[in-house]
Amino acid sequence: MIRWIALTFLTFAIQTQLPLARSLDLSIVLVYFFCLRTITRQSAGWTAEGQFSGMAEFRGMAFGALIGFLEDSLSGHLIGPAVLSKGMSGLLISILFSDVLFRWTPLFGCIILFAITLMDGLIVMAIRLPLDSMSIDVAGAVQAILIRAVVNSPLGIIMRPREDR
Amino acid sequence: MPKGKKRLLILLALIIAGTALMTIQHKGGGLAFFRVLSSPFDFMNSVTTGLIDRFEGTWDAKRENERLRKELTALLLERQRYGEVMRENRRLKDLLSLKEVQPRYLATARVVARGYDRLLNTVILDKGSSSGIGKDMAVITTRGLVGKIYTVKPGSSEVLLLQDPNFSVAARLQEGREEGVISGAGSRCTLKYVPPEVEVKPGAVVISSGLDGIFPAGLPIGLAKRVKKEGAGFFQEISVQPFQSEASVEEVVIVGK
Repeated sequence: MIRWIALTFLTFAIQTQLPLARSLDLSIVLVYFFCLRTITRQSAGWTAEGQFSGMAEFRGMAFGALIGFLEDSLSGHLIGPAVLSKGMSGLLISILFSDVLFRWTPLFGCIILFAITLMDGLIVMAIRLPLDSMSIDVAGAVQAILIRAVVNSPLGIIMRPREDR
Repeated sequence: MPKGKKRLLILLALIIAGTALMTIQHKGGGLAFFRVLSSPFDFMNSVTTGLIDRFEGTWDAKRENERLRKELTALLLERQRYGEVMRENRRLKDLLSLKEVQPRYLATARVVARGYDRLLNTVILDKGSSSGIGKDMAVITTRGLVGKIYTVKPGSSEVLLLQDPNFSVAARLQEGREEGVISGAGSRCTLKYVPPEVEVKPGAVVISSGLDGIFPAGLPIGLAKRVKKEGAGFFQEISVQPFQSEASVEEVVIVGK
């Protein structure tokens, strides 16, 4: 628990202080890393009695929503878009790791991180477009999101799940 | 409950919570309390900005210091060049003044190099026969005699200096009017053929007599330094310190025959 709090603080500190980290989306990487490290095959939503608990998905979603909440608070804009996008990302990653992918490979990690970063950015943009009074250059924003997804994706190779997966 | 339904419920809960959150804010509801979360990062931001500003300030000061040092060096060099030009201007003006007092003034030349012949003590001038300079012409400065033209080429000429042992000029003592011959002796010269009965005091001025038919009469040559009478034979041996040091010749005047 303390480790994740420290990691969260460190992630936001890096993202807010280092100009080089601006082209990265470290918060979504953190959500991905949380889901990758905490969801095991045994905890992936099934109880000992063979009942589906949905605990893994809930944890992924809750952590993502919390990170999104922090991100929105720090941005000074509307609180909510990142809550939704990161929450959905956490949920999706949890489903992917518990149901779809039975074996992690560096290539999967890379692709998932790319797709999740892209999805997260697009959701935030889709929510903020009608709510923000500012006119947003959609093509430019999509380009920025794509660059972030590309820059983020190599981190998917480095970050590995726990040994039991 | 089936797996899919539970997941849908989680997703719906998230969407409802998120939408509610945004709706509250959109309707003017304050969630300003949560902005407190950003305070540690704001503090960190201010510290980082302060550090970066200080670093940038130091860096800028260092670069400005380097730039100013370069400028200062350039200015010092320029000042030195300016001083050199001023001194040269003064020397040339002095040389030009010789034109008025020396009726046989021919040309002004600049010393460009030491002579190439190791056996002779010579210097090279930047003017030659194309400027009217001829062999055996006297070379002088405002201080006194420098030597004579030894070889001439169209664009340059070589001067045999007063201090060279191969150089000689008919001379006389300015006060006593006794005649003699000045010959080079390394860094100094020697006044020869002055009889022993003549009283020569150290500090006596030696000038050219003009009797050799090469050098005009009255050119200052040097000062008598040491006078040796004993053991010198039929004549005195007078050591003369030339007025014009060979080491400081830069611009000269060539005097025609």
